[in-house]
Amino acid sequence: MKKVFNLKVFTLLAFALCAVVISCDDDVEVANTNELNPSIFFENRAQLESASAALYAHLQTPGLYQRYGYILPDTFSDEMRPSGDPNFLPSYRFTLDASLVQTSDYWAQCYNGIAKSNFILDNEEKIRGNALISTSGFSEQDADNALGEAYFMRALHYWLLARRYGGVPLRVTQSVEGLPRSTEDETYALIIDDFDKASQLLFSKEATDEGRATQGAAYGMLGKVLLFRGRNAEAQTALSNVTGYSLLPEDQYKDNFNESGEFNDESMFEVVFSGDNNPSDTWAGNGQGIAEVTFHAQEYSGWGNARPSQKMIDEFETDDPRKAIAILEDGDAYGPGDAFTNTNGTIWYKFSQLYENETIVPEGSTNVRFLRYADVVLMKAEIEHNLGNDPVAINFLNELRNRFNLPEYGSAEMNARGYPVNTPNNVFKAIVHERMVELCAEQHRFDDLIRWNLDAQELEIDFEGNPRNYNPNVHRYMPVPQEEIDRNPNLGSGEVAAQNTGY
Amino acid sequence: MKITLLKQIFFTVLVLSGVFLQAQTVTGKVTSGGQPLPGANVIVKGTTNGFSTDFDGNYILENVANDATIVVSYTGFLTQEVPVNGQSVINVVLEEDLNALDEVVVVGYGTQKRSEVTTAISTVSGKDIREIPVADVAQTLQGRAAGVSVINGGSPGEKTAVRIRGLGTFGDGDPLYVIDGVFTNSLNNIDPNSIKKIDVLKDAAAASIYGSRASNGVVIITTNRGAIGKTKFQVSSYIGTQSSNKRYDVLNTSQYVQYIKEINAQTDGGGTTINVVNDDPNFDGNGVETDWQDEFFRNAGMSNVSFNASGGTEKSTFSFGASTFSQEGVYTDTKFNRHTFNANSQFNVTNKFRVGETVSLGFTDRVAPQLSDGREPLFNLLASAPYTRVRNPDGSFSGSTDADNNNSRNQLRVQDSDDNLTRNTTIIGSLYGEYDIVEGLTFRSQLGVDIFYSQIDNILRAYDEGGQFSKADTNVTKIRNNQVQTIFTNSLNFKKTIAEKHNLDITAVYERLDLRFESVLGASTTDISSQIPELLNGVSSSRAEDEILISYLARVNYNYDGKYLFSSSIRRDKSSRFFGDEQEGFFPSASIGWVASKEGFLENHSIISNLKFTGSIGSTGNNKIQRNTFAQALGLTFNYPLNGQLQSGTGPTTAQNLDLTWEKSVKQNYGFELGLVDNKYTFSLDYYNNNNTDVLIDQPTIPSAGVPSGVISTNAAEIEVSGFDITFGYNDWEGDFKWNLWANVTTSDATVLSTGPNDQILRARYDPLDTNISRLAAGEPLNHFYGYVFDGVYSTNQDIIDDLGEDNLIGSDSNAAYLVQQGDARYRDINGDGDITAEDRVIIGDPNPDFIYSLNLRAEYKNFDFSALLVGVQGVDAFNGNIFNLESQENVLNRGTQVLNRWQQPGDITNVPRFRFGRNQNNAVSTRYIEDASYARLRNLDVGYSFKQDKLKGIFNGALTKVRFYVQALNLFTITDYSGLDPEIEPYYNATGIIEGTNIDRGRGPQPTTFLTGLQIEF
Repeated sequence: MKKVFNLKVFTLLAFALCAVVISCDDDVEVANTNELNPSIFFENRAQLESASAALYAHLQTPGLYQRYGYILPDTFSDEMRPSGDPNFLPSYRFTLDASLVQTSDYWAQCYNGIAKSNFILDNEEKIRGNALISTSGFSEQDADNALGEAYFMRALHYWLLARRYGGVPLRVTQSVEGLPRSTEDETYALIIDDFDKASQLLFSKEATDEGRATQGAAYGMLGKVLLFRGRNAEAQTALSNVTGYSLLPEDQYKDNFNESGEFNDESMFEVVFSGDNNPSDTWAGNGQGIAEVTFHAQEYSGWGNARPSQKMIDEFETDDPRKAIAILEDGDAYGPGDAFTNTNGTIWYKFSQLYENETIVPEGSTNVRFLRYADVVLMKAEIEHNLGNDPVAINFLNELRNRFNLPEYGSAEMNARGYPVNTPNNVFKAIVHERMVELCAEQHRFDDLIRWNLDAQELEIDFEGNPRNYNPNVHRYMPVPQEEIDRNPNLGSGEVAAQNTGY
Repeated sequence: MKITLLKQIFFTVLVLSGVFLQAQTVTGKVTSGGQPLPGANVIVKGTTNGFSTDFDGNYILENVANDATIVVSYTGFLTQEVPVNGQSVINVVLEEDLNALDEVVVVGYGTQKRSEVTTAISTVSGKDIREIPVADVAQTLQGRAAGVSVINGGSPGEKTAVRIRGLGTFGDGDPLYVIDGVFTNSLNNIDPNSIKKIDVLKDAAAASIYGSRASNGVVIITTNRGAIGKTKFQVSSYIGTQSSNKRYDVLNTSQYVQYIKEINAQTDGGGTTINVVNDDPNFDGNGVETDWQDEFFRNAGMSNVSFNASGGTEKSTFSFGASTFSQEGVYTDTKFNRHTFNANSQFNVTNKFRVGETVSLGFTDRVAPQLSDGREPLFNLLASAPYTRVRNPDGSFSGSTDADNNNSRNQLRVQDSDDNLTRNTTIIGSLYGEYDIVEGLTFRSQLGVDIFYSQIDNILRAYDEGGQFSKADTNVTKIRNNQVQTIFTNSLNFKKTIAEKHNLDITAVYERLDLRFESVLGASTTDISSQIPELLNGVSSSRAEDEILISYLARVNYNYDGKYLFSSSIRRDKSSRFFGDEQEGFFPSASIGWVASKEGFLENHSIISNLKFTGSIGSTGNNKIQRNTFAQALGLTFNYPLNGQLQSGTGPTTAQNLDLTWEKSVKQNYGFELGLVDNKYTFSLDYYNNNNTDVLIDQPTIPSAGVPSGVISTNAAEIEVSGFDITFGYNDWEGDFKWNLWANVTTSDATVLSTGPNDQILRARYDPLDTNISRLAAGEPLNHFYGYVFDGVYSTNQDIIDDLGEDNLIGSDSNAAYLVQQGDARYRDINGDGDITAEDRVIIGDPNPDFIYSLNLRAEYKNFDFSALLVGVQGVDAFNGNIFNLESQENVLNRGTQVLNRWQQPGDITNVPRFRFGRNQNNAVSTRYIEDASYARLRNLDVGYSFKQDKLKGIFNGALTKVRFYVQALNLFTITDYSGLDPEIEPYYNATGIIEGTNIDRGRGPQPTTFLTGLQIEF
């Protein structure tokens, strides 16, 4: 009996051992049920819309349009007269160095935004697959639109980068490896390609949320980049596809720069601010949290850290009503019903909050008008001029003058004012003049000057007549952030050196 | 066949009955070397009939069959079996086990004889553990094992930091704790009295058997087992008092008022006034003289009662115990209480099949020192105005008023209104079965559980100090953590001696660990009532984490005649903490040994009794990284307003990091042990070298990767730790006066070889200085201090001009980074560029000791016994944050009396800078805060008296076998030059539970001096 018992035990144990060692599965995978992760994402409409909302979040950071996104191009230009504030001075004096937050934060936030696009684009297959499932709550068109937004915002962030740094590392899928800098041509090729794709995929503005990228905006940006690259015929085609926008009438013109007029018929893409603010998020500035504020009004018009230069003021024709809408001088009336009087010296009225308020609060909620139809009209004029169709170009320029009943180019009065359009060169000068007064303080001037190769000439002296030490061979680009150079060993391994010339 | 079997049984019973009829009484005496052996076990083989010899070595056994065999056993002696053969008097002379020193060492999934061990393992006996009356088992390891460094926390129930052969990681450096084969972190919930022994696996060849969790070393705890023989009862208890009498010397009321008057009058950099002093030139503090430290410190009680019963027969053995421990802290209101219950038993179902279980239950509650707005208690105690009362005459709490301009909180009020209570319930247990398949081949299967339930209640009640500080809301936070870990271990062991000399021991194991952690947090805020300690309409959140670890391992131990030793093992771990291929890893090891003293030329040598050389190499891992870190996390707060509404935006916040893996360590150990004159003198030396690669480090991401968190954890760094473990023993345990001593010295040199792509990493933030204190850099000591060299105080402005130039004078309108005036700190211009910048920082201190040491002394004279333990740390620097509290002078908080000697006028020569209002460079990280924190401490001293056996005979019919009284002192004295309260600086854990920097004194409580009396009874 004892033997029987032993045998039983032995058999049992042997069986247990076999069961343990042989049949035991060796899989140690466990689910992470605490955080959202990509494997359980893009499954419904709310998720898709949330992922595409995040595309725009980095535009609100201090690196971009909460601060440096407008400070940098504005102070590089000849429109501004900065105070001694350290956020403004190095860029105005062209003494930026690679360790300054101006250059590192701008760079980092562009790439944070690009990563949001790549997150969506990397999941294209999944998004398209789920669009076919009725319970996902989103259609194939919704999927197209979300992908279109991702292409649009990737192109837009690369466009912000390319203009400030030249060729940059092109990250088109999510990764953490250091990539070499691509050439400027390669960078622009990607931008053009992405805007082109976006223009095929995006909804028109009527069909989507206020604040999201639209088909019109994509064509507008595509035309703009093509113009910058000198591909005028293609730019002409792209801009001809911009429909559904118009120039606001004179009495609504200030809606292009105030809060109440946001998303008007002239506006094509805006960086949205709501004034919502969680103090701890505001200065952290990584795109997370509630930091829906811009310091633009406070910086420019409140503290007066960037005032209109005399050159800018002088550029306006004396009867041009746009000056009084762009700039306030001492004693000028402002506010609703012009109820208040400015005593803060010459300041920017545009984007100042003062159209609607007596005072300025730091929690700015006025949207950046990133692309407006007036710019498209001016670009069309320039493209036609570049293509040799000056009469058509002049017509486009006059569209802008007509809304204020200003004398048209080609008229005797305009000739008398020194803006004849009898030669291609004069037409070009008219374009330069019209862009400066129409689009002042909207971060266009510096890049326009470079496109026109006028930068060395126009940026030679500062507002006090002293040399600005601008060197077009160096200062067309900012230094690549030292952090990127230090941490990315591959940065200079391609055709382009890690750091830009002169830094 | 069945019938035959039944017949056989029937016949056997008949025969046995007959034998019983012929039973008789057997008496005798057990001796050894002419001396009686009290407490030896004498039992009749195969029965429960047994007896422990009395003080004179005598025994009586009744009802012993004529043909029975008695078994006599005693620890340290060879067990003897004597057939009765009708004798009525059997005297037994036990031979001392020649391998008496040859204790059994627990090597993980098995045991080995000490003499055959080829790896670095330290063993601490239960006696040594029980001797130190502390809450945490880990604390009892201090000074008991070479290579083991222990840093105690000052407050009761605080976690103890155990480092085995130094720290080789930037993350969690805690060793792996294994209790009876079950992995646990609940050391604080174990009664030290329930522990039989602790084995510490130090080198890779020993520890690699635990694979991916073994890099920090392994501590194996074996709990009490019953032994065959009469049931033994043990009761031990102690009661005592703890105190900490060292105080910082701060300004008293008249000094403080005078100091404030001088500060108020100071025009350069004063800028702050205390109105209560300024507005009344005659203000003298109204006769109030509060010594805040004395108000807060107290004499604290401590007591323990442990009970244990153990015994057994050939069929079964058992041991069960219970204990209750209670310790108050020397900080008012702090405490730690623990109740435990444990039971171990084993049943021999057949002579080949055994089952058993181990269970340990623990219940603890702890009230820790209460921080207020992130301030350590000591911060408030030192800074509070001495003319402020603790309580108003009506009994309510007093406090600083607006006119006082002193923002210290009344720490006694803090401790009263704020409660933090942590209650832990733990179950550590196992069920196992063992079956001897054939001789030498044993299968063992064990199911272990480690269950941990933690309830944390944090209540910040509404209060009003009647002045500057009050709070209308009551915040209640409750955290409930629950962790269940099961470990299923199956092992096959084969032991065989071939041709008498080839000894083979092979082990193969399969193990599966499943863990689930769940946490619920609830919080509520109300201004309605501070009386309800529950959540009223709170908000809550929860999380859950799973982990699986599947392992296979094999080990071969072989020796030839106990002379040539060889051991090798390999473990394969597959862990859910990592992804894909990184889940799986192999951890091999090999070691060899040569027992030279067994060779012919040394055998029976007159002096050399033991000489053994060993060498080992192996690989281990450290998988202690947060779970789920390899995955990409999505954040939901990339908000953006769309259609006029704030919309939640979702995107990646961290980078996917699928290559993440465990830290790897290749450890080598070479050593020898020497015993002289019958092992009267023993000496051992081990050299070790641990090369840790793939060390996890947070590394900033490349900006163009677009990772919002900006960091990624990568296996990029490398650390090398090397050093010596040296022990020396002297044993004269003979005659009336017996004594022995045992000493050890450990060195541990930890050097960072690489910090990955980073030049340096600064960490261990210290809030008062608004900066990080510790630095990691290639080629430099781990966690060294980095800052300026403090060269005293600028006596005059001319000194500054001479030193740095005029452009560094305050008011010079220069771009100099460092602007000072006379009376400010003088830092050395290391790079000589005439300015003090970040470039002038150098390594200013090394928190890694040159060596640590201990001296254990034990003696017995007649009925008296004596033991002492001295521990020490030599050549170690500390960052003393208290110097900031005492000397910083950035505001009008109370300060140390050092400030009476501050710079006040040009020409003053002093090391204490002027009062300078606001955060300023006088208080930058510098050598001013670095002190030598070497110390030698009499950790334990106890003297006991045991009653003679003949005296006990008269009491309780001689049931008592041992009665011992003792008096004991812990931390009786500490020799140190360190100016802080305690040179053994409590480790500080950051939010993720990591000790970022070592030896940074943030003002945590000191370890008290304890006086105890105790009683041990056995019957």
